[in-house]
Amino acid sequence: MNPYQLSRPALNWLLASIALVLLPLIGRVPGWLLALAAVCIAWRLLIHQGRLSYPHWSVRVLLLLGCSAGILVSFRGQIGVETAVALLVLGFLLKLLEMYQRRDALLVVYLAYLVAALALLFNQSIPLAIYQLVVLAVISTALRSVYQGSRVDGWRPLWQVLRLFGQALPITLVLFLLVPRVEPFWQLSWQQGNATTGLAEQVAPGDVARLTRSADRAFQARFDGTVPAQTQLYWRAMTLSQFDGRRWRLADGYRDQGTQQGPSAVGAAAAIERERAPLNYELILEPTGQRYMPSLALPVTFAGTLKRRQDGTLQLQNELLQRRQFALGSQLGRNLQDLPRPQDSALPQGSNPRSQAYARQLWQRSERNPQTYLQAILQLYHDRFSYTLRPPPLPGESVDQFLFDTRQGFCGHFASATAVLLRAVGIPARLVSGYQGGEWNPYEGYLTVRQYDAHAWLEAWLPPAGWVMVDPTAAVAPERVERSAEQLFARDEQFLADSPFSPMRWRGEWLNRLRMRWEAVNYSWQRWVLNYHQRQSGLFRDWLGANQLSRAVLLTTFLLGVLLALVACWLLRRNRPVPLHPCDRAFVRLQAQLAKRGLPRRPDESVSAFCQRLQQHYPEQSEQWRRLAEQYTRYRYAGEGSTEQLCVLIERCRRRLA
Amino acid sequence: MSRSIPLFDRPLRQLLRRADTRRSRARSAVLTQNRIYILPSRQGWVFILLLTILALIGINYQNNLIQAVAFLLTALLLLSMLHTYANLAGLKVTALQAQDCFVGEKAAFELQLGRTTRRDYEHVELRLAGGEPLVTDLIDSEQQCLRLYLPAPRRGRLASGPLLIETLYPLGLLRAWSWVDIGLEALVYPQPKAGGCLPQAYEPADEGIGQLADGGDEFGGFERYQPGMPLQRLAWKAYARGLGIHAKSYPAARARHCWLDGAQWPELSVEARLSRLCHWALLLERQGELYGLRLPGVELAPAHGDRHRRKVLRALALYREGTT
Repeated sequence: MNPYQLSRPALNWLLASIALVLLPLIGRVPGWLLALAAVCIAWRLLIHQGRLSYPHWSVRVLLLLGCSAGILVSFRGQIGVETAVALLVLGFLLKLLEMYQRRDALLVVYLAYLVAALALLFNQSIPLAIYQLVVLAVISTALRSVYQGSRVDGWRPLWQVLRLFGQALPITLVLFLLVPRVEPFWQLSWQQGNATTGLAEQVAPGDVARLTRSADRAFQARFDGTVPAQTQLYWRAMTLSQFDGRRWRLADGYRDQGTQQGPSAVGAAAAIERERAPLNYELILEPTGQRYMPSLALPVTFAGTLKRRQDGTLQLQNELLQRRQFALGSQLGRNLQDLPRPQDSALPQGSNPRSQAYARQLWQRSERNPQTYLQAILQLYHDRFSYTLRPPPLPGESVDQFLFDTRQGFCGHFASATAVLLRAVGIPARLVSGYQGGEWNPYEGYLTVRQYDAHAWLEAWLPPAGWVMVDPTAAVAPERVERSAEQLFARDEQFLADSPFSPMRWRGEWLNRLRMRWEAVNYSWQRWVLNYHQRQSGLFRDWLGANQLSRAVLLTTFLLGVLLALVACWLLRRNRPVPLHPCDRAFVRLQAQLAKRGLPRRPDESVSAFCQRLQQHYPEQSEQWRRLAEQYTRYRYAGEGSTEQLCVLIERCRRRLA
Repeated sequence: MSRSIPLFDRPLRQLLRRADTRRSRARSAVLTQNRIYILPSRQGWVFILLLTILALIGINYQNNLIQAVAFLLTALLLLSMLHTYANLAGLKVTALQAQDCFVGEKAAFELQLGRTTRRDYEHVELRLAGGEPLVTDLIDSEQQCLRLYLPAPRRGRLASGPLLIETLYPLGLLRAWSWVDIGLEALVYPQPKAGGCLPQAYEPADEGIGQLADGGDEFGGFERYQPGMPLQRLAWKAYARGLGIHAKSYPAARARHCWLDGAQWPELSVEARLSRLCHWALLLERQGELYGLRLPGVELAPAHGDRHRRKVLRALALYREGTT
C-alpha cells in the first residue's frame, strides 16, 4: 500500500473534525454553505465506500466559481471576517472532494485549525472556548491519524493526542501568562457587522423606553473600595444639547471640538481633581459600534485611547467593535464647570408655545429664583404626572402634549420637558443620556448594567454651583432610582419584550441565584482571560518588579525548560533495556561461551536453528542439543515445562562446554 | 586498502572481502542522540506559518482566545520535538543479509529493526538511498525483520549504501532522521536472455560414470530426496500415497554434461554473451543436467545443484567487474 494514502480512520477523523469545526459557524456563514458541507462530507464518504467517484475537475471548478460568487452575493460584496471565514470554509470543503493523499489532507487539517480559531472572533463564551478545545483535539487526532504507521487503529490516535494535550496545556498556560502582549501596531479592522443595541446619538420622546425591551448587557463595573450608592450611579455617556423642538442631538461639530486627551483637567475642575482622591473603577464595555463611553461624574484618570470632552463625558478614538476593558477614576460629588455655549440655551422659534408660556408664568411665580423654579417643576411632576414604560405617542409638539395632555411618560419625556422649561426662561440646560444603577453581583462583587438600565436626565447651569444634575424621574418615581429597573418593571409585559428567553426573566429565588453565579463566572472569565492583555502589565509589575520584559522572557524560558524536561523524563523513563527472561539470560551466557569457541549465533538464527548447527558441530553431544532445542521451543511457544528445568538444562550444556 | 599490497592481491582481497562481509553481517547500530538529526518538516514550516497568522490575528483583534490557540499549537510543536526524537532514540538496526538478483530486478536487503528500550515506536520510515520507503511500527513486538529493495540496473556488486531511518511521529511537524551504514552487498547476475543454440559441446563423461549412466533417458528408479533437487524429478504420486518424498532418478541425465563457454557467440557484446550464458545455466540447472562454466580466468567444472548454480551465477556476475 502506498504509505502516503489516507487510511480509513484518518478520513473519519478528518470528516468529524470538519463537521465539528462548522457547528459554531451556524448563523455566521450562509446556510447554503452548511448544506454544501453536508453534501461534501456525504460525497466523500461515498467515494471512500466506492459508490461514487471523485468529481470531474470541471465540476470542481464550476463549484468553486459558483460558490465564491454565491458567498460574495450572500454578504452583498462586503469583505469582512465572516466573508473570509466563509471563503476558507468553502476552500476546505472543495478540497475534500479532491483529497487523494496525505498532502491534500494536511491542507484540510491546517484550514480546519484556522477556521476553528477564527470562530473565536465571533463568540468568546466559556462554553464555546471549551468546545473549541475539544475541536482542536479532534483536528489534531485527524493530523495524528494521517501519520499513523502500518498499524491503523481508529481510537489509538485519540488517546495519543489526549496525552499530548495533557502535556501541552501547562506549557500553553505558561505561554499565555508570560508571553508579553503587544498592541497591534497596524490597524486592520474588518467590520464584524452585528447590529448592537445601545444608546443613540439623538433622543426623541419614547426612545429610551425602547431599550427596556432588551436585557443585553451594556457594561460591567468593578469598584476599588466602597461602592457608591445606587442613587449615585448615574453613568454619563453623552450630553445632548441640540434641540429641534422634538429631538435632542449631540451638538454639531461636537465630536471633534473641545476634546482633550489624557488626565489633564478642564479649567476650574483642575483644582477639584487635586482635592480628593478619585473613585477608581474598571469597566468592561460591550461592543456598541459607537464611540461613547459611560463614566461617573467627572472622570479624571483614563487610558490614552480615550478622550474627555468639554462636558466631561468620555469618547473612544474608534468605534467600539469588541468588548473592552477600561480602568477609570472619577471625581464624585462635584459639578461640572465647563462654560455653557449658546446652543445650551437655544430653543427653536415658536416650538412648544404652550410650554414656553407656562414656563414664563412659573418663572414669575418663583420670583426668578432658579432653585425655586426647579423645585416648582419637580413638585408639579410629583403631583400630577405618572411614570410608565408605555407612554402614549406624541405626534405633534411633543413637550406641549406631554405637559398638558398626556401627563404620562418615561424618563426621556420628563428630562426633555424639564430642559425645555429651563431653557424657556434662559437657564442653560442639556439632556444627559446614559445608564442609571445596575445589578450587583455579590459572588464576584461587580455591577452589571443592562440596556434596560438606560436612562435620561438633565443638567442645568446654575452658577455658582456649575452644572447641577437634575433627575426629574426621581421626583415622579423615586423607586426607579432607588431600586434597579429589573425590580421595578418586572411585572410590566413591555419589559424585556425583545428577550423572551433571557435568564433575566427567571423569577425564582433559586434560579436567580444560579444566574448570578453563572454571570459571576463569566465576569471572571472576561476579566482574567478575555482581557488578559490589559491586566498583564499590571501583573508583571506586581510579580516581576523592575525590568519586567527581560525577566518575563527569562521566566518563560525557565518554566518552559522545566516543563519540557519533565515531559522528556516521562518519555524516556522507559529507556531502560528490557530485562531478559531468566531462560534467555542463561542462553545468552551459553552463547557467549560458544562465541569464545568460534561459534557465534547469527543474528537471524533462531534458537532451534542454532542448536541444529551445534548438533552438526558437536556430533558427540547431538542428543543434548536436540533436547535443548526441543525444550526451549516447547517452553517458549507452547508453555510446557518449568522455567527452572530449562535453566538447569541450559546451565548443564554450558558447563559441559567448559 | 588492498591496493597497497600488490603481492597476493587477489587472495588477500578475497580474504579481506570475506572478513568485511562477515563484519557487516553482524553489523548493528543503536540510534542515539549523536546520530539523530531533527528539523521541522515541510508541513512543519507551513504549521509555523499558520501559528504566525493566528498570533497576528489574535494581536490585531486583541483576542486572547485566538492567542491561546496559537500558544497551544506552539506547545504541540515544542512537544513534538521530544516525541519525534524519542521515536527514533533507542532503535537498533541490524543488517542481516542481502539477496542476490538479476539485472532489472530488485535486490533485497534484509534488516532487523529492534529496540533497546521498552517504548513503542510508531511510523518509522526506512529507505535505502535510491529505493522505496518502508513504513513500520514496533508496538508490541521486540523486533521486526524487514526487507528493503533496491533496483539493480547493472551487473556486479550492488552495495546497499547508507540506510535512512526517519520519522514524522506524532503530528508530522518535525522530521527526525538518521543515516546508518548497514554495509550489505548483493550480487547482481546478468539478465537471462534466451538465444543461440544449446552449446554443442557435448562430451562423453568419464567411463565410470558412463557405466552407471547406462539407460539413457529412461526412468532409473527412486532415490532419496535431498533438498535442492529439481521439483520436476519429485515422485508426486509416491508422495500422495504417503510413501514420503522421493525423487525419480534418470541416470542418463547425469551422463551428459556441457560447457558454457564465454568464447561462444563472438558476434555479441560481453554483456549479451553473459546474459545468454546465464539463461542456459538456469535452463540446464532446471533440466537437471551437468554443466560447467568457462570464462577467461574462470573455470568451473561441470556439476549440478544449488550450490553449483550459485557459483556459476556469481562468476557471471563478477566477470570482469572491476573493468567496467
